[in-house]
Amino acid sequence: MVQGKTFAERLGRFSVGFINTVGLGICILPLILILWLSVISNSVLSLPAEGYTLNWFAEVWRQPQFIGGFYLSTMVAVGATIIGMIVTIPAAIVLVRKRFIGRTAIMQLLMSPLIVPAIVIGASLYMTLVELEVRTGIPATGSLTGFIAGHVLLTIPWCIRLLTANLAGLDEIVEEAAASLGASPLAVISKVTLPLIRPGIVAAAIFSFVVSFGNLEVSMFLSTPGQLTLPVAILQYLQWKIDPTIAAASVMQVAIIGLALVITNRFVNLSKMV
Amino acid sequence: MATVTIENLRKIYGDFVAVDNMSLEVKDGEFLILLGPSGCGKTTTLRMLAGFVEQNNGRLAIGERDVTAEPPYRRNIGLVFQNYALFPHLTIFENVAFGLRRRKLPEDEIKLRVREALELVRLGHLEDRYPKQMSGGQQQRVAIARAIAIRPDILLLDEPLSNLDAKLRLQVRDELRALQKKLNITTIMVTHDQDEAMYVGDRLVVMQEGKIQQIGTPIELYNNPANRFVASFIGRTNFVEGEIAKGETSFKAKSGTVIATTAAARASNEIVVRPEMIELSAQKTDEANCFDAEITSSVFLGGNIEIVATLPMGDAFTVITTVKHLKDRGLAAEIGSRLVLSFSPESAVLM
Repeated sequence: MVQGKTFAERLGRFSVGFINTVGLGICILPLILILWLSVISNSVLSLPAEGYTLNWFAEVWRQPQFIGGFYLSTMVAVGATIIGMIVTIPAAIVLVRKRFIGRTAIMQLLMSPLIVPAIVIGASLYMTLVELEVRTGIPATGSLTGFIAGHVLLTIPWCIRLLTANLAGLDEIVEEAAASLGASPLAVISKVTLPLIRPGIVAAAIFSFVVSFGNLEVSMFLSTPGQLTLPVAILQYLQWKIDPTIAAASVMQVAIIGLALVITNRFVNLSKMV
Repeated sequence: MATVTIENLRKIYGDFVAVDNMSLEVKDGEFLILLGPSGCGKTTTLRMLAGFVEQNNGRLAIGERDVTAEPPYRRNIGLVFQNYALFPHLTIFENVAFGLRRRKLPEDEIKLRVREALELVRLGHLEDRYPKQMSGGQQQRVAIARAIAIRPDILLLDEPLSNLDAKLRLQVRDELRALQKKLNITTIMVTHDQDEAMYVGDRLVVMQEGKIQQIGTPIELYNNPANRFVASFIGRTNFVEGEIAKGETSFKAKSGTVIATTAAARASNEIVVRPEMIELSAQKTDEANCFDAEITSSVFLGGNIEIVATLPMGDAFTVITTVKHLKDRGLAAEIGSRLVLSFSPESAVLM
């Protein structure tokens, strides 16, 4: 590090370094702790460690609710991501490119799932789905469709934010150039707009997947016996037992999301987008 | 190749009239310039021609084809933008091929036409590059190639040289003019730079506040500006206020100086004298307008030297000359030195 000339400069450098270290520490510490707790041999989640074992990871696989939860969470997250993207990409394009009455109102409405507490969304979704079930006789709670519908709601604000930011940064003149060369409005979107906002699309998809995969509040209300997402299964398990299996399941969840991020980073530069 | 007809074109934003009942005929193969300061409506006019701005009123036609209600993608117009607007995710080849693919041409034809267009701008060897790997001048040449590859009926250029540095601007300007003449394609270019306009334009349309001030060749505009605005916008000008009645041949300046003119077609209270029309000498000349003057300002511009010479009555004239010219006549460019200004009655143009 280059030494500052004055005391103020050196103090400035030190403060930046200090804040960065503390900030990163707060982010990473829980991850390290969970990793540590997942390999201790104590039968209750506690410290100090009596010894080390990898048995808890095997234990996760012996718990059917974790396997089922993992499968359901993945299905829901993938479904919510795909449907979320199909819904939000056209919405974002219209919101950024067109000026119309009620535009800001619609924007606010789409962002509202971020403002309303997730637990409230979960409760109201539950009531809506139960009503629907009663009126139509079609099972809605605990169904994959019900889960996906609820989770799409959670992914919408993230997608809209990321996509509109990306679209606003795209110079409209490039789209005009395409139109002047004979591209119909649809061709402009598919050949120019979408390829150019690909980083935003990928970022939005990752966020959707992560938000859906880790969601507890909404899923809790939509779950029925035997139909649990992974976070709900972990919560239920915790009500009976506090052993390192929980830590092991969490490590696996973190690893999956981390792997997804690493793979995506090979295709788009994540640090440039978020 | 086609003519362009603009009839009573009008565009209003709120209560701001951007383009005010503009009518214009562009000839086949002509290089026409829309010239004016920012906000004069030149870009709005171009964007209405391209179809990106909807006019409030008026008719647009390319050749016999009425395009007033046509969307941009059906107008068959080649467009070149100020900031190039290349597709950053496509190679140079694919950029130029873009319009051809939209027209669903066979692959062989596309290859042929892309190569041809890139050869015209001398970039055939760079077709596999991406736009960001090229310089500004190269990018603008790709943009030109992309616009002409579709064989448009007309070419529209929106300040195509403004983003280039001074040296490159001259080079691309020369190429643009040569290319336009070679392809003989009807071209309309928007610019605020009068040098650029006079260099490339067959005819210039000077605009201000949404209205056409004058249409003419560079020589016509320079020698016979229709009004004060055109006179000040095209080239450097000396304005002299005063009065002259219809039929008279002498203009009485406010200062009291009397300037000989050609017979006035109408009464007027202002004349313009181009700096280049003023002759400098040490001795009196036979010219009708001949005044003693003193240099009150002198700016060395490299090739040229710009002098402000003040008459005994106080009228100040800007004169542009060269160092050699002054030396040949035994004149000094220093402030305070004396000389004689002379110009013909024809050079004093009534406003």
